[in-house]
Amino acid sequence: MKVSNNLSNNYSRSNRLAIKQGAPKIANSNVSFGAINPKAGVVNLMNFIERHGFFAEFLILDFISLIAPRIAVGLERDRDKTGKWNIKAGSEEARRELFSGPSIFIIPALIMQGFKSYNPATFIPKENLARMTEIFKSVVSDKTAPETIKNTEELTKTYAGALFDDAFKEFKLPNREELRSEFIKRIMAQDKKPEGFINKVKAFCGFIESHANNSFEELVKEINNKNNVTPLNPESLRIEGQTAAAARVKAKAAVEAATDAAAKTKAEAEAGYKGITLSAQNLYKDFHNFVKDIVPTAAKDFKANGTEGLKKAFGDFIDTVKTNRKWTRISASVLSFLAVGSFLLYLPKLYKVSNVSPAMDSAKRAQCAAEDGGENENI
Amino acid sequence: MKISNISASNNKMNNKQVAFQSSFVERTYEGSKKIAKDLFEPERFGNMGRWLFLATAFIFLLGGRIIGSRDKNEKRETLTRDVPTIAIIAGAVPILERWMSKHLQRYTGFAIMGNTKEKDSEDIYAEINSGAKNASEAEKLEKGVVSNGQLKNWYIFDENLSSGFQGFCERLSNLGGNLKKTFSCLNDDIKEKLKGLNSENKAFMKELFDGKNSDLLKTIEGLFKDKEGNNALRQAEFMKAVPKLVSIAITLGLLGIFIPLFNIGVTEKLNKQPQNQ
Repeated sequence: MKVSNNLSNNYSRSNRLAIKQGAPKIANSNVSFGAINPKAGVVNLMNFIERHGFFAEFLILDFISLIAPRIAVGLERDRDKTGKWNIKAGSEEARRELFSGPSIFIIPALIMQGFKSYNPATFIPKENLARMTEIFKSVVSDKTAPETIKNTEELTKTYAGALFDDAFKEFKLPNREELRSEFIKRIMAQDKKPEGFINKVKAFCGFIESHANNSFEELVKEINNKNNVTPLNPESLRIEGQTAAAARVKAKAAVEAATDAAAKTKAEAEAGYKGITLSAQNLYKDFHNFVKDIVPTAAKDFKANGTEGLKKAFGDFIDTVKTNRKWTRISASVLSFLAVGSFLLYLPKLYKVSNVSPAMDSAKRAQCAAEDGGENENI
Repeated sequence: MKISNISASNNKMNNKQVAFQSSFVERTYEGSKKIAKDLFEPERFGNMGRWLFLATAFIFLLGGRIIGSRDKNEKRETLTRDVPTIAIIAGAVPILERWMSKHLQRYTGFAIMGNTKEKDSEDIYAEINSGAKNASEAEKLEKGVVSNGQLKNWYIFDENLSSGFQGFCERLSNLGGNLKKTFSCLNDDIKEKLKGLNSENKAFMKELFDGKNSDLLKTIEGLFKDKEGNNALRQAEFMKAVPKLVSIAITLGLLGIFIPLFNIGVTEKLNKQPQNQ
């Protein structure tokens, strides 16, 4: 079966790269000095800061405004009175500021990476994990053949198909089967691992964009646009799960059956959507974390213990794994908070040089200047 | 034009009027709830929430420095210098940026603000369901500066869009943008041709979509279809980047220059009085 042309036209590699990197088209831009476009430079820098969130903004503010000037001001302190650079104050400021600020972010990140290598599913937020597990259980307890469950790859494909059905079940799509198979293909695709040390560091810090993730996002945008709405955020999806969907259908029936206006408003308020809304990029990441962790565990257990009749116990087993990951997540978060706290409390012992602070020195000098009318070089 | 096929009962968004200047007590209460939520149920790892950062810094950073301080002067210096610093780092840039973007959007007519509650929250279609019917109503919904990806969604016309170019224009207009100013910066030619049309969004759209201006409409649509971007997108990106740049510069000035000098001045002034008082 040939995939139709209008799917492949939008996804040519040069188009994707150009859009994602925001490359300025020199012929159309308003201002350009040869190859340097100052407007585009400002835009790219701000996008970089925004993509990396609060951490990037904090690092820039911290370095430029706290560390450098405080060191300079510390070195200059009372220089007019003593005639020398105040090395004591300057070095103390340097050590204090360099260690306090960034450690609030770096210590939790290191702890999280440690957890990630053991249990990738701890990276999934609580609500998302609940919905995804529910859909997974429905995949396993349906009329799925046991051979499919024992084979991890087949199970993953079935699960991806179930996600598509849940997210887009109310959409009116002309070529649903094609889109479904394309969805499964793209959500399971993975980038090649980076090679070389520098590339590995770049990937760790988040500097390399994921092409598989971007192509999945474009497919989701296309599906959302084809539906009968003008979506505000075409890259978001909604996932419900079985129980929420059933509750919603029941509440909708109650709306139809409501007799008077008050009951109708009340029923309408309950008939709303009860699932979660995700962006496509986050769904991609969550899917891969889930599939790396929970699906192989479940498949292995089923292979070891399972027959047809044990499918109910298998559902309980999946619940246990999910609860375990949830509590691991909470404890990881609290642990990192306490680790940061203990490091910061210990920090003053690291940066102190003597028992007298530079502030006290400065105060003494000012006092002497006021009393004697002169400077005392020996302090 | 049919707005959506999801039940139109999510009217929560329309009823929620967020007052930007809520009282200090309310915001502290909301903040402490957020801190507990960030600590025990973090949204996504790798993105520390600002309120959690504030709590960590106040409890451990300041606490450590105050306990480990050697004399009264260092204690006082820590308080006057570090308390404003932490508060400014945690919160100043978004507040300034949002304030500047709101005025810039109104002044230049480019839609750069929208619903930016994290995309993992519910009700993200509620804006379409309950609908911002016009620009003034759009201003009442909860707003923040959008991300770059969302700008590309709004300013590049995807052919898959089932409501067509008309839906594209209506979306831009509902977000609070001025269509005439946005289209005029595509290139100088179009700016000339658009001079005669009405500035107000609804009238502008009616004039543009009637039979006489069909050539102009086709040119504009063709320019917006370009996948690599167009001048309106570049201008909108620049309008979005400028408040961030200016707010970072102002924060840098406050933190790096004003506070240390203020602190040293306070120390000197307090200690210039002779000891026998």
